[in-house]
Amino acid sequence: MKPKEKYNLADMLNEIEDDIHERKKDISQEKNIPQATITELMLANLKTKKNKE
Amino acid sequence: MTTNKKMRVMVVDDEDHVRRFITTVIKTMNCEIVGEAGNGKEAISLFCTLKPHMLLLDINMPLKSGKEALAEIRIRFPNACIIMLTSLTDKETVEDCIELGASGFIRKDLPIDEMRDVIKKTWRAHRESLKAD
Repeated sequence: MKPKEKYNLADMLNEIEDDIHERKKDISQEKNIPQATITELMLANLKTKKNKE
Repeated sequence: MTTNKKMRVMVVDDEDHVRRFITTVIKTMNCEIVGEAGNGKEAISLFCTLKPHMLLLDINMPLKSGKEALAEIRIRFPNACIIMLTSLTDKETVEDCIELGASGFIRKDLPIDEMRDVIKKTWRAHRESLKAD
């Protein structure tokens, strides 16, 4: 008797493609951080520096 | 920037047209450009001589990178106000510059008004960070 196929290959491939797509999106966002985010980070860092002293 | 005494600024970038652009923006803010350099090595030596209030420093440069110059200047002048100038805004570069002690970070493609605004905000926050409680 032929064993029942547990997974659907096509679905698995689709999932992998989705993962790759998501990862690409994440990396591209990290490579282009908006100025507002950077400024916020920098100002927060200066505040932390003051509080440490 | 609100006092009568002009703030002394130094600009470092290996590209002439970028330096010209940045110095023009800075001059519109009632600041004085006291020096310019085209690489990290020259930046360190000029900074030690001029001791400006603020340094605008490019990252990708020949001889010594902006990150290397930032690290060296920060060791000699722990209270220096150094703003990185760049077109690279990836997470790693930003985090590295914070770690090395940059006071601010400006994308070169920023509209002029926003650039002025970031410079003012950074200067105020930098001065505030040096004040004793």
